[in-house]
This record gives sequence, C-alpha cells and structure tokens, in this order.
Amino acid sequence: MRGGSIPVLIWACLLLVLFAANWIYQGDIVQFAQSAAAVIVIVLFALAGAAFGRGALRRGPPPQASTVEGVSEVSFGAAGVGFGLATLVFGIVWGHFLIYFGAGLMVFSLGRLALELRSERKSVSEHRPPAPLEASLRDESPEVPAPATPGHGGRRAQR
Amino acid sequence: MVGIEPTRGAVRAPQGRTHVSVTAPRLAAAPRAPGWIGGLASTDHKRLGLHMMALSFLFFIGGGVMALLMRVQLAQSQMHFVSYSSYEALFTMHGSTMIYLFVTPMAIALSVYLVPLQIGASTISAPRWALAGFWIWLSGGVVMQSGWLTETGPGRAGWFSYVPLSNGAWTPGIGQDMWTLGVVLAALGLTMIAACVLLTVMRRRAPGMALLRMPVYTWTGLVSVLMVVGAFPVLIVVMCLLYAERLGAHIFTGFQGSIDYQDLFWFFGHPVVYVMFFPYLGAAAEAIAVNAHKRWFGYKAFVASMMGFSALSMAVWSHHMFTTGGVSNQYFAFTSTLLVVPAGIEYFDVIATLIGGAIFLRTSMLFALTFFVQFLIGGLTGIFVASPVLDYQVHQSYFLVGHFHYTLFAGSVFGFFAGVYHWFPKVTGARLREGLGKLHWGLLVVGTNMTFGPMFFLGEKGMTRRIAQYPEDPQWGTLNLIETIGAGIIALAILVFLANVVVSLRRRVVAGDDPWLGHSLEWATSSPPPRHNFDRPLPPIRSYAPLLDWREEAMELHGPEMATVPAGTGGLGPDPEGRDG
Repeated sequence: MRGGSIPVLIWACLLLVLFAANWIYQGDIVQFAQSAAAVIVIVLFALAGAAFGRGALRRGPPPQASTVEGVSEVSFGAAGVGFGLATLVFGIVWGHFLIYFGAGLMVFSLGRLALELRSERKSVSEHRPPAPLEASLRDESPEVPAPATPGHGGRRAQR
Repeated sequence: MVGIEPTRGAVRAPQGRTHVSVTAPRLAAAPRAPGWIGGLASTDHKRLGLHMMALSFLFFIGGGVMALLMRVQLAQSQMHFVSYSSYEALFTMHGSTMIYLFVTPMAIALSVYLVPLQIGASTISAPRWALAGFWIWLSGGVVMQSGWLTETGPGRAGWFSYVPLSNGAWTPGIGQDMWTLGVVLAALGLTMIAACVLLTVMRRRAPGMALLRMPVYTWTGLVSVLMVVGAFPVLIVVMCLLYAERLGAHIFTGFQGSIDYQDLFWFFGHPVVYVMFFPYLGAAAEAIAVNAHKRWFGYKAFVASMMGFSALSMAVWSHHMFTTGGVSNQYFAFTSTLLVVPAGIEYFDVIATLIGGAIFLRTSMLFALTFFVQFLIGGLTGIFVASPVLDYQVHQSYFLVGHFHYTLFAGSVFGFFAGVYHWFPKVTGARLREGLGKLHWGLLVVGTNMTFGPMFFLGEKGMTRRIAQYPEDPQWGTLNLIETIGAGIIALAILVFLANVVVSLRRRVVAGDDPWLGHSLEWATSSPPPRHNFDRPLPPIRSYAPLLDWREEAMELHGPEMATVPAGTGGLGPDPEGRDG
C-alpha cells in the first residue's frame, strides 16, 4: 500500500534521535537495550510493510486496486488458539491439568486454523480472474465474478 | 470428516478490491454454529471492537466499585470499613483494572472499530490475529480478577508491582502470581490487536486516502498503536522476569535491581498513559470539528505534533523515578517539559476550530470541550511534576493522585464519552437521548471535580497516597468526605449513562446514516455499517474531511439545499424530523 511505511519510519527516526540523546546523557545498558528493542520492532513493522510492495515507501495516495482477497467471517481456530494459550498460562499457577488442556486446545485450534487458511486460499483462487493469456485461450473476459445481489444486511446476505 | 465449505460469493468492493467471504470449515454433518457462538469467533472488526468495548466497560464498573469501597474507607479518619490487606488489594486491583482492562483496551477497541471505517477499508488486516489477541486479553483479565477467589486475595503490590515488594518473599501467595500472568496475557493480547490496527492503516487505505488525508481520529489511533507495539513487549518481558523472580530467580536484586525493574516497567508505564489519551483526544477532536461545522484547524501541524508528542512520550518514562537517584533527571526533565509544545499545538487547534464555527452544544460537544478543560488541569500539574525540584516535594503525596486522575479520568473518560455520544448513532443506528446525556455530563463534571480536585489540597497538606487510615485532622477529614461524596456522584452519572443506553436502544430514535453532518468516511455508509463496511461508492477523497468537501462542492454547484444530501449518499444529511441539535 502506497506510503504505508513512511509514518512508521519517521516515527522510528524520532525515537532514534531521542534515545541516542538518552544514551549520551545516561549510558545505562538497560535503558539502551529497551530503547533499541522498541526501535527495532518499529523498524521491522516498516520493513514488513515494504516487503509487501515497494509502494509502501513512496508518497502519494493509494491507487485503485483490483485484487481478490478472502475475508473471513468467523474463525474458531483463532479464538481457540487465543483461549488455549491463555488456559495454558493460567495452568502454570492454577493447576497442571489446565496446561495439558490448553496445549491440547491450542494444537487442535492450530489444525483448524490451517484448514481455514486452506479453505480461504481455495476460495480466493476460484475467484481470481484468469491470466490474460489463459483468458484469451478461453475467450473469456478477465473480469472478476459479478457481485451477488445485495439484500438486507449488505454483503452478508450472500451467506 | 472435515468438509471445506464452499465460498459464499465474490463481491466487488467500492475500494476496488474483490472480497470473497470465507467461512470457517466445519464438520460436514455438524449444524451451523448458533449466532452468539459465531459472534464470539467473529473476525468482523466491528463486532470485535464492540465486544472489547462492552467487556472493557464491565471491567470499568468493577474498577469503579473498588474505587467506591476505597472512598468509603477514607471518608473519615480511623474508619474500619475494610482491612489494611483488603485496602492494598483494592488499590492494586482498581489501578490494574482501570489501566490494563478498561482505559487502554477501550482506546484500542475504538480504533479497531473506527479506523477501518475512517480510511475506507472493508476489514481489518490480520483479523484472525486480532481475534486471538482479543481472547488472550480477555483471558488475562479473567486470570487477574480470579485472584479475588484465592485464599490470599489478588495482587497487593500496586498496579506497577515494584520489586522487592512484589517478590515471593514480601508478597507471597497465588493471587500476586495470577496478577503477574494476567498482566502478561492482557498486554500480549492488546499488542496483537494493536499490530492489526497498525497494519490496517499501512495497507488498507482506500484509493485516494493518502497519509495526509487520514482523519484526525485515525492519526491519533495510529500513533497510539505505534506506542503499543513499541512499548508493550517490554512489559511482557518484565512481567515474565517478575514471575521468575517470584519463583526464586534472583534477577532484580539490590538497589540496582529495583532501579532496573522500574526502568523496564515505566518504559511501558508512561507510554501507556498516552495510549490512554490520544484516541480519546481524537474522539474529542472529531466531535468538536463536526459540532462546530468546521474543518479541524491546523491539520498538518496537528499531525506533526501527534508524531512528536507520541515519540516524546516514549522518552520521558524515568520522570517517575526522579526521587530514586538512579536516573538522569536532566534528560527526563527536559523531555517531559518539551511535551508542552505538542500539547500546546493541540489546544491552539481546538480554539481555532471553535472560532467562527456554527457551534451546536450537543452532549458529544459538551463532553469534548470538557475533556480539553479537565485535561488541562492534569496537564498543567504535569508540568509541575516534570520538574525534579517540585517532584521531590510532592512525590508519593495525594497531589500526584489528583494529577493522574485528572489526566486519566477527567481526561480520557470525558473523551471516551464524547466519542460514545458522537458515534453511538453510527454503531447502533439509534440516537442517545440528549436530555439524559446532558444530565450525565453535568453529574460527571460535578462528581469528577469534587472527587479529584481536593486531592491537590490534600497532597499539599501532606496526605500520602496508599494509606488506608489517617489520623484525626479536620482539614483532611472534610476534604476526604467531599471526595467520597464526589465518587458517589460519579457512580450516579454512570448509572444515568447506562439508563440512557437502555432507553435509547429500547425506544429507538432512528439516527439515519449521517445525523451530525460528519466529515469522515464512516458517515458515508449505513448505520450500523454493513459487514464489509461500504456497499455504496465512496465519495472522492481529496482531504481529511471528504464528506465536508462533498457538501461544499454540492453547495457551490446546486445551492445550499443540495448541500445536505449529496446524490448517491443514501441520505447523508440532517435529521429530517428536525431533532438535530
């Protein structure tokens, strides 16, 4: 996305200047370590944005996109992973049976999450417009499928 | 056998992307999950945001009850309403509940709900990640509060749990362990959710939504989540180290160990104050601009000040440690005092936005204006304590309690209610009652100033914080009694607000899509918004107030009567029944 990483990088630079001044004043290793960690995390976010596309470092408004993407409606897998992790941590102080339960729930939920992601990829590939060469061979227009008729509740009515 | 459910259909969204609604795979023979269970696993950012808001508010009520119990204990000298041990648990859990489970998550929840709508996105980035974060945060809250059910009670070492007080020797018991791990989970969950908001701003802005066309609220949300992802991981690490310390690992030993713990804790602890402030500042700013029917003044200066403000607030943490003798007071006094500059820009923007505006004193506007006035008291007393010389004088006194309650309660909560009254019609499709809203506002103003104002005088008269009893003193007694009555008035104000919500939802006054003539994109969709946020074309985005641009353009082309209902907006405009304002 155009320009997405720019404010993140600017912010990281501001932090860098402030933390460098702190290092000059203080020279404390704990303060240096935590400051460096914060800057690194922020820079990693900016780089992650740039990794999705170099436009993230360019100025200007985002252009029109014509991509197909999956939008999940519900995810029992993600909820299960979160709840499983929390149960596992709770088990550390409350009772070891919760550690086993939480770990089991996490493994089960991760499996379910993998299925959800596979389902999403499959759905997206089904709706991806064919490549121009493929389209010309099929004599089809590379258009995305026509939208379903919106009804009460907007897009969700398609369910 | 697991069956992969087929895709429900593809939709060309107004933003140009094509969305494929994907549901979770389910057992082929299993019935469809009932609505409320599906709701708990919903990846829709609006439902996620609303769930967080509702649960945060429940925690707020819990934290408020704890505050009331403390105020009853302090209403008169030598009271025996609660034991010393219970009082320690109450002030620890009151602070922890308000910070980890109410103000911070509520601020992030507002961003989860609003930021995608304001930037014209159809969903949040990494919604599954956000959902997992929500469950982790909620579980953290439950773990933390479960300490009340233990024999030793919950955490008792303050919301910061300094070592050595919080180590296994000085605060034994499972309750403090649960507090520590609860904070780990809550911080982890909030960090995950904040990362999703950050990625949404980075990757999902609508075509035309350049960075300097993002609404004011979105900028405040963006800098907040930047601070969360920068600072919260340090809290997670320090809480894990504290847990190890409680198990017997000697990590924070001696004077330097205590200083190191405080350094690590306040590296999170001060930025979180601003995470609890910026989104509410954004909400108040939106309410002021819309209710003044004017563009937010000095937008670019505001954006620059937000970037500087947030970065500076990451570099002031050790002003909480001036009196320890373990940090460089000069550096942190300098950066803390420098905060006056961006704060001043914001106040200048507010005043300049109001000047010449057609001001409607709706409830949201009253809350927004009061937010800035009340926060000013917290901010100005903040300048006092940014000076080490004065900080030595008032350290550990009620002056500090008054200062941070003016910033966090009188500041954040007023901004929060400004946002609630401003966006309630968008979220529910119904308006809150103005009469009850103004009663709520009036009670809250009186209650807040009665509760927190006398704290400055108590601090000046030498009353220290975290004491469960105090000696006979006519001045202390009177001021404490006033505070307790004020706390009761705040509770009454919250009851009026809850009554307003119930009445407004049961006997709905239909709000329409854009009841206040809003400026940003969330007002260009239906109320409440559809699943993918926008099912009609977005207006052209040429500034940070695209709907205002649209109206002005329509007025130039077609005259004033066309300005309120631009073609194709599906009824953008004032309330046809004339209830507006």
